[in-house]
Formats: sequence, structure tokens, C-alpha cells
Amino acid sequence: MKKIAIIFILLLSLGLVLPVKAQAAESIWITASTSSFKTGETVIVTVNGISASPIQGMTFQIRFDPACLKALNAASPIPGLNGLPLPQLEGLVDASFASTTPVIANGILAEVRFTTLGECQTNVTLESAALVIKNESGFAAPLPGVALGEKSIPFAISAEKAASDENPPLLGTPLPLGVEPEASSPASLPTMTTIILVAIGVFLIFGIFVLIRILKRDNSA
Amino acid sequence: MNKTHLARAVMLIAIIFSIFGSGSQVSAQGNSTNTLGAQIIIRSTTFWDAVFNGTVNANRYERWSLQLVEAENFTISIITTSGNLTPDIYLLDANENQIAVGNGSISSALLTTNQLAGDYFIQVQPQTGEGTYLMEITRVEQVVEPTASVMLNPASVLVGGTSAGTVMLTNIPQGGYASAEFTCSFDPALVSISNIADAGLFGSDPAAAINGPANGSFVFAVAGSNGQRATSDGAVFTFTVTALAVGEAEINCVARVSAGGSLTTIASTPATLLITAAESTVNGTVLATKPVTVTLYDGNAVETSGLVDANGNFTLTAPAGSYSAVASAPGFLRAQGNVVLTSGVTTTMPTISLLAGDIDGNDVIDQFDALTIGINYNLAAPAAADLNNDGTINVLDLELLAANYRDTGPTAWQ
Repeated sequence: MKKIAIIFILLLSLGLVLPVKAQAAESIWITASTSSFKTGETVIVTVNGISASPIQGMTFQIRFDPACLKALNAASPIPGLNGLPLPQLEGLVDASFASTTPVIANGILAEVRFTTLGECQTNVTLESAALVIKNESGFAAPLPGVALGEKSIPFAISAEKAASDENPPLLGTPLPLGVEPEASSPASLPTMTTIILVAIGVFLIFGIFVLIRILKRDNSA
Repeated sequence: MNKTHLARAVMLIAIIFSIFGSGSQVSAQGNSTNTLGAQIIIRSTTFWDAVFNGTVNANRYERWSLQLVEAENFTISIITTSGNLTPDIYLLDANENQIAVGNGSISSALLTTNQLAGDYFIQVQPQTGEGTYLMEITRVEQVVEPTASVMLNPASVLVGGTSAGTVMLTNIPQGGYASAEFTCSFDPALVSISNIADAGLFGSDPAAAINGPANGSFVFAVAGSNGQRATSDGAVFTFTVTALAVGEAEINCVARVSAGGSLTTIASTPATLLITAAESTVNGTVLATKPVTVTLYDGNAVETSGLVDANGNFTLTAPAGSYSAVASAPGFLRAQGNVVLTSGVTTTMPTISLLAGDIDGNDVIDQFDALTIGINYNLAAPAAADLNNDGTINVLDLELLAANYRDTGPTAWQ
């Protein structure tokens, strides 16, 4: 009986001493498998989440340095969550996924793929994110009380070229994240093309001039 | 009780009821006659200057018919002849709606009223007590006086508008008038008077004189020539009233008439011209694939609003002033601009296309608007997400949204 009492007291003491880590019921955070990359290598940033309630969508915005990284695509492994193709901004991944039916979101919500552009020390930052529900009026609304966990991941990119870039297959249908290039004026030609065209013109005129002189000389002879 | 006794009792009750006339159960009638639970006994048709007697108590009211073949001014008087009755008199129209009431005091009640031709009912009921009464209906002789009255047509105009004024003489006594003088007054800040002209009541080629208008008054004097007189009611002279400012302008003409010899002042009836600000108009075109509402705000208050037509055109009228014009449609960013409306002038606002995508109406086209399309894909609701208004929320709506993604409102409408 005495032993039981001692064990009980020890357990109680242990319970009082161990710190309790507060964990929000709903949260979103990002992770990466490694933090060191070579130039030309693919970086996979995983967006993770926990939600006690079923959701009908999610959205996240990840800031990155476009001088170091180029966003390729994003995909969600959760069946039914489909990416919405929306215009992207330079240096920002703006991804949204929606489902017509409520889905459970616990674990990996999405992964975002970048390719490294050159030697860099940089961060990717989860700027904002939300789990989305359908409100009474049928509109998408952020699930309240969702905390953002790990928001920034540092990357070291070396100048060494990656030999081959073998990556795991995508977890879902890819959502392209490329920034559409600004439309160039179709009327303007590149400078080099213009120079070549001018040179060809000069040569043609010179050739015709020489040909005329040769013909005149033959006639007079 | 055998069958014979029962039959006698039934017949006795029937006879008693037949003596007291036909009764009908009263239903509640508005707030008029306080007749809940009482029976109304229909009495005979009344006529002038006769005395009628009746009996009323808490359970029995009496209703007398009254037919007026022309407008009449008349008095209904009731005097209690037995009991402790304090009577009330209600005058009802043909639809049994109360139109006049005479509340009694102690043992009598009096109701004097002026009514047009038609069918009426006089209902007598106790205010308190019960008893018998005598009722008398008498005409009130109307004193007919000659009157000079001003008439305006129309009686309401916008600023800058005109109204035709006529001065009439009515109830001209036998023998007529040889001459008349009208001193008319008006507010010169609100109206101006012009085109004063004789209307011929004093015969052809009368002697007429006009003084003014000046400082808010004018005088028109007229006398029949060659023994001609004004012998019947009619227009003496006419004039034109021009509205200068918003307000109510009273025009009165005091008349002095002469039957031959001296001038006598007669009654006069003025007329009032209601002058309102001229409406100003704003129109324009707002393009969107959904119905657009255009609203004019005076500060935070809505002045007026309206829907655009199938071509996106709208026209709104409002008093002159500065307004904020807002064009809105479900699922689109609002457009807002300022517009100054001038009295009597149509102002055209520039044509504008609303930007599609603000589905939740928070003045920004963002990912939550896109997600609303995503979570309602292939559905019809919410209607605001069906941006192209084709009945289905799908990628075509997302295309429209994507074209304006990250735009904020309200967009400038200038």
C-alpha cells in the first residue's frame, strides 16, 4: 500500500513538473526536408495543417526571393481539394485549394516546389494562410482561430550545379505558379535582328553597285 | 312540457322579436361605435324637420337611414325622454364607416355636420345608461355670400414654371354688379404676376384699369359699359403667375363691388401656389453581366436609386445638389463617383464597366472570392458567385474573377 502511495505521489509530481505545450486546435505551418541545396535543384516546401473541423478549402501565401528561387507548382494530396489557377505575383506563391464537399485536413495540406537559381542565402516565409469553410450564405470564409506555426525556413544554395534532379512524384494535381511574362510589343524587333537586317541591306546595295560596274566595263570592252 | 307548450313558447319568442324589429348581431367596427355584443336595430328612413323616438341600452343600438339628394348642412339632436340615458350620435357612410360623431352630455347629444349627397346612417347608442329618446334632424340654412376667389391652375409648379390665375365672382346677388375693384397681394420673392387681362364678366368692351403689379400687389378695376353688369358667377380677370423660388405663395384678391353707387367689400378666398424645386436628372451607362443598381447618396442618406435597363442605361431624378453616385451589382466591385446636379439640367455620367469578382462584397477581389467559386463549383448559389449570370458557378466565373484578381473597390467613377 505504501509503495502504491509513493508511486502515485511520484506520478502526480511528474505531472505537475512537466511543462504543457499549448497547441492550437487548428494550425498551419511549413517545413522542408533539408535546408542546403545546389543550383538547379528542386526545393519542396510542405504546408502542414491540423484541423478539428472539416474544411472546404485552404489558402496560403509564401513569400520568397525571386533572385534565388523560382516557384514551379503546388499540389495537395487531399482528395477533392483542387487548386484554383489565379494570377501570381513575382516573389509570392498565392495558392488556394477548394473542395465542393467538406474534407478532413490533418497533416500535409500541400507541397510547393521551387527550383534554385544560384548561390544564395535566403528564406521562404509563410506570409498568411487560412483554412476555409463555407458559411451560412454559401461564401468561403476563414475558419476562425487558426494559428500560424513555423512561418520561416532558411535555405543555403551553393553555386555547385546539381548533377541530376530526381524528385519524388507530386502528391496531387499540380497548380502552376509561374508569373505570366509581360506582353512585349510585337512591332519592336530585337536589336541584333535589326543590325543583321541592316547589314544584309548594305551588302545587297553594294553587290548591285559592283554588278552594274562589271556590266558597264564588259560593254565598253 | 309537452310539444304543444314548447311550440307556444317558440311562437311567443318569435312574436316578441318581431315587435322589436329585425336585429343583427354587431361585429366590431374599427374604433368607432363601441358596439361589441350589442344588437343594431335598423329603424326607418328619416326626413327633415321631423321627430323620431327610439329606445337604446347596452345591448340595443338603433340605426336610422338618411338619404341626401344634395350636399346638406344639418343638425341631429337627441334628447332623453326617460331613463338615465346619455346618448352618443354616430354618422356612418353607406359602408358603415364612421364619418362624424356627437358625444352626448347628461341627457342630450348634438351633431352638426356638412355632407355631400349620398346614403348615410345615424346610429344612436348609449354612452352610459339606457332609456328612450327623441331625435330631430334639421337643415342648417347656409348663408350665401358673394365671394371673390382666386383660382390657380396648376396649383403646384416647379421653380420657373407658370400657373394660370383666375379671379372669380360667385354668388352674385340678383341685379348684379355694375363695377368691381380687386386689390390683389402676393409674395414678390416667390412669384411674379403678368398678363393681367379682363375675362368678360362685365360684358363686352368694359372700362378696365390695372395698377401694378409692384411691390407684391396690383389693382384691377372693371366697370360694365353701356349699362352692362356682372349678373352671373364667372371669371372677372385672369393673370399669369411665374414661380421664382421654392415655397408656398398665397395670392389673395380683396374685392369691393358696386351694385350702383357705393363700393362694398365682399368675402375673398385666396389661393396658394405650391412651388417646388425643379428636378434635375442624372443618367449614364453601367455595364456588368448582372443587374446593376445605381444609388445617389446625399451624405450617408439614400436620395434615390434605380436599376439599369437591359443595355445598362439608367436615369435618376433628384433635387439639385451634390451627390455620391454608387453603382453596384452582386459579385462586382462597386464604382463610386461624385455628381453635381443642377436644377432642370440632365447630367450624364461616364460609361463604366464594373469589375467582376468581389463575390463577398468586401470591396476586394481576393482568394476568398475565388474559393467561393471553388466550393460551390457547378452549383447555382450563391448567385453573387455566378459572375457571368449563366446559372452555373464554374471556371468561366473564375476566369472573370482572375482578370481582376487583387483589385480593390470602390473603383473611381469619373
